[in-house]
Amino acid sequence: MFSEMRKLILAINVSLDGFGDHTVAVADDELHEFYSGLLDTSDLAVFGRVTY
Amino acid sequence: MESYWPHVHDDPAATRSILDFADKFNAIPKIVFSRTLQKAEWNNTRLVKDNMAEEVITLKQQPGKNISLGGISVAQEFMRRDLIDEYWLAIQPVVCGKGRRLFDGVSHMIRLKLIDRKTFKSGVVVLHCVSAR
Repeated sequence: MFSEMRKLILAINVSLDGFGDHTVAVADDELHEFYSGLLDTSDLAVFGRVTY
Repeated sequence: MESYWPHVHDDPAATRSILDFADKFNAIPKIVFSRTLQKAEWNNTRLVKDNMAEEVITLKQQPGKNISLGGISVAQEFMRRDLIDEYWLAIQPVVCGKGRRLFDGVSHMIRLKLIDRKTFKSGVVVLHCVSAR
């Protein structure tokens, strides 16, 4: 039962010193395709106001 | 993000993969957590003002595919409550020096298990970890 629950998945860019600001990220095609693939596994996206 | 993704087709520099991502993100049902926003203008978006952890606990018990989470503040709230099941950390080969730390405000140990990793041409390394709770 528990294993069938939908999962909450965090996908985020992180710098080597632990910052998570998406403005400093490499944002090339390969990374966009990676995030697209993760969205394909989801049917809901949740985020906060700053991201929004 | 609301200012960019719905209008990405107007950006001549947007590549196919950016447009694909944008289209998926515009289409997917979304929840934005905010106590200050008055309403969510974005397509297919619901605004939740309070009790975000309880909202997610309820959503996780409903049938469906996974729930994708983005944004540091919301991530930290869910980390503190140990609600995140999978971490996909795209480690960027850069030292920022400033910004918002991903794990700030997390004061307990979160045990994870590394189940996969990918290395991209850009040097980004993705760690795919699952909660070991």
